[in-house]
Amino acid sequence: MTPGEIFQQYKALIVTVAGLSIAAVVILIGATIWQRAGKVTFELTVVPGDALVKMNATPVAAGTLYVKPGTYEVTATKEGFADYKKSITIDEAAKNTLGIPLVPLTTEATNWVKQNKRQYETITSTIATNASSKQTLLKERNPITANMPFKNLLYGLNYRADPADTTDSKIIIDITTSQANRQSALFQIRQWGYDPTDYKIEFSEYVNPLL
Amino acid sequence: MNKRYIVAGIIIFILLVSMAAFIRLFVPTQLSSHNVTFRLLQPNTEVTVYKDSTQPGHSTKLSNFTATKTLQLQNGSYYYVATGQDIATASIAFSVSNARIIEVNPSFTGTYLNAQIASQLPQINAAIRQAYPKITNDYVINSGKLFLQGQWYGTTISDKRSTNRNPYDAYRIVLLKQNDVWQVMTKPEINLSIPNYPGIPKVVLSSINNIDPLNVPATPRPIIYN
Repeated sequence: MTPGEIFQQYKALIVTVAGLSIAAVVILIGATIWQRAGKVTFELTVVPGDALVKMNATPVAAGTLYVKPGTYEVTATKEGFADYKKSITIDEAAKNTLGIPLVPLTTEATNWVKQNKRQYETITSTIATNASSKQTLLKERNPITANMPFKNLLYGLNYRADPADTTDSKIIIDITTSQANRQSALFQIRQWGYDPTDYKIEFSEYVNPLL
Repeated sequence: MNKRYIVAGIIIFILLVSMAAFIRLFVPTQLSSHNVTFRLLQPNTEVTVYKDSTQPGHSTKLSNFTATKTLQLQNGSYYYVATGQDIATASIAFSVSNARIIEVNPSFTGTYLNAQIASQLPQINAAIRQAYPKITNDYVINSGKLFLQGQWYGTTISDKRSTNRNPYDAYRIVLLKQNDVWQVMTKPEINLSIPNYPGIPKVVLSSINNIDPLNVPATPRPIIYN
């Protein structure tokens, strides 16, 4: 039998299998697009890997997750380790990552950490890289940071990440000066083209006498 | 015959799935239109809605009404202008990406608000002194401004020893009138920031932060609010 004759004999089967395969691929792609529409990637790592991680009380597996932008409370628990809890904001503009190295409490857990030191080193390195990218993001979202640190004879201005901010995008401006020059320092911010109203500002050696 | 039906069915199925994925991905952001309800919170207000244009002076007038109304608007950028007696005319931008309710509550004119200050000041200053009794005779509560519909008030508190050559800290404070009672909404602070007071309109905080307390009288006089 020639190949042409074999094809003719099994034509119906071949067409059906090919059609079903294409349909399966389309369904798979369509379902994936459907499932991920409106969601962003979130890289989650945890050590030990079998810790129970929850986002807004829903158990999730570590790895690449697709979640809707918003604020989530992430918890991680494992017997023998300290409970982990953090509020994070996932948004479209940021590279959303979270590394959770659980802290051992018991001797058994400490031994486990010693035996799996490499996993902790990897996750710590990832956290450090993320911190660096967060710092870059902080600067991108706060163009005023390009002017700081700033110092002249009367005052100094610098910035730091706002620890109360879960989006890792807001800053606190620290002004170092005497009482007589605080308004001048605020005026400097206006001169840069920014409104001090938009920022949390803390002054050195300042105690509010009216409180 | 059966084979044709199977192939045709598969093709139709593929087309339907592809269309569903396409609609899911693109249509909500490009072609959809939504109901936008304009709720007028003040009587005798006239609202005109425009479709925004990237070219200046080419906005399209869409609708004009004097009572609460619902319009069906496509996704995009728009603005409305509210006019009426004692209402400060301003265009308010808004965008449409889903169904929404817009409360039209325009600001009063500076002239109208300034006329209200004198009668409100005794209650306002009493509320400030009650909330912060450390505002003693060493400090002066300066004349401030009423904002929006007259429910927000902001002012500065300065140290009597302050001079241009030797300035002391000036403090800024904001109050809100609720149920006819003035309530202090902020601490007296050198700079009132939005992150600390997210519930207070930025126009109020920014305007109060901009006041130079050394050039503000302690006794009330008309101040033009823009």
